[in-house]
Amino acid sequence: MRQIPWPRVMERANGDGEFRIAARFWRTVLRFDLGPESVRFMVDDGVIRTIAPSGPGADCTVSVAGSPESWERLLAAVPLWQDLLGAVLRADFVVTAADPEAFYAYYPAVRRLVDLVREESRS
Amino acid sequence: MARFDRATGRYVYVTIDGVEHRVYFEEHGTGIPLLLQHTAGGDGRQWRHVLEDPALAGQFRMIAYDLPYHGKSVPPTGVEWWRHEYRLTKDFLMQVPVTLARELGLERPVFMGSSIGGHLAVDLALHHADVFRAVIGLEAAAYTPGGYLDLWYHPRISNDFKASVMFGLMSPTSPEPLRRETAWIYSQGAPPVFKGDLYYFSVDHDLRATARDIDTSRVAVYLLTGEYDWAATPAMSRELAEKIPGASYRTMEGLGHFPMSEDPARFLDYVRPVLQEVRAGAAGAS
Repeated sequence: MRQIPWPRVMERANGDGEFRIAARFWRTVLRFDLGPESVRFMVDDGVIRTIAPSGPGADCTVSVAGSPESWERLLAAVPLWQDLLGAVLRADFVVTAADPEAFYAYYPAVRRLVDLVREESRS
Repeated sequence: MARFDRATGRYVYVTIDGVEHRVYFEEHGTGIPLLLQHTAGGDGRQWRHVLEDPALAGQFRMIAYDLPYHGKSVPPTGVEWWRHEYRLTKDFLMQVPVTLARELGLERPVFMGSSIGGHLAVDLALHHADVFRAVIGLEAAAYTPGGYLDLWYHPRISNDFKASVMFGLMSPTSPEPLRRETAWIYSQGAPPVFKGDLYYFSVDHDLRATARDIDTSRVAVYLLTGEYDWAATPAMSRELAEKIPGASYRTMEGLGHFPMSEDPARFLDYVRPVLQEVRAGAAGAS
């Protein structure tokens, strides 16, 4: 699994016009499960306050879980893997949310966040 | 001196199932009529780049229309459409290009469409081979279940969601301004329309048992699909082509679900030879 500089991802997202617009008014705890590793994003009023390692079962509003191989393909954007929702609909990723509509309402922010993770993991 | 696009737009009245619809279309060119169908939840603006192509315009009369309830084709005034949730059926959808061809006096037009338009291309080949000389299905498949979902029309989920998902259906190698334009069009559709269109895409369109009945000696069938399309994948399109005796298939590398609008230059490289083959067939038949 490629190295992801999470502090840099947070800095990029909070300075990114597209993410800030898509995340407006967003308050959530988002967890990415990257195989055995998990990170939590604490988002308040559309700003990512922290990104920190967590256990795979740590409290969150929504989790996005995939195997290391699935994350690798998503972050490489190989054909048919350039978009998270496509991978979710194929069951290559699992989204768990108590309030699914709230997740999909903020899908543009999540998608942009994945773009930024992709860019930063290449750098 | 003002600079104008070459395409011009106007409205035509068509009656389908006893209801009059005012349908908007844009056209450019002279020659073999070529009807251009947009995707689910989109409109004819997706074809604006192709419409401007001078080489095609010298050989084809290109006509890109907005389905009723899409783009500038506002809902009809003769029915109380607001009392029922919008839903696109195969029967209605097929009647639109067939009726347009009749009302516009088009002689054996070519039909080309993407996504629902790709599915429609093959449905037209099966049911209306007498009307069309050839169909070109982009992002077509025999059956694409699972898309008719409430999340596409939910009071808590805005049109931004649709635009974002459509952005992710395109190739990351396509020019970003054109991908953004394609997604922008999705953010502008009337809220119920995309879900309603997916009724056709995911429920009413099913050629698994009947694709083999298409007679390509009466209507030529060409299928092309972008390699990044995860909604109607290259494998699905290839499988459909293999069911239709005489159909051809090609994967369009570096393109996604919206080839004509996300990277029209690359798309035209793929579709020009197909259109030339159609044209050569027309010359041979005359």
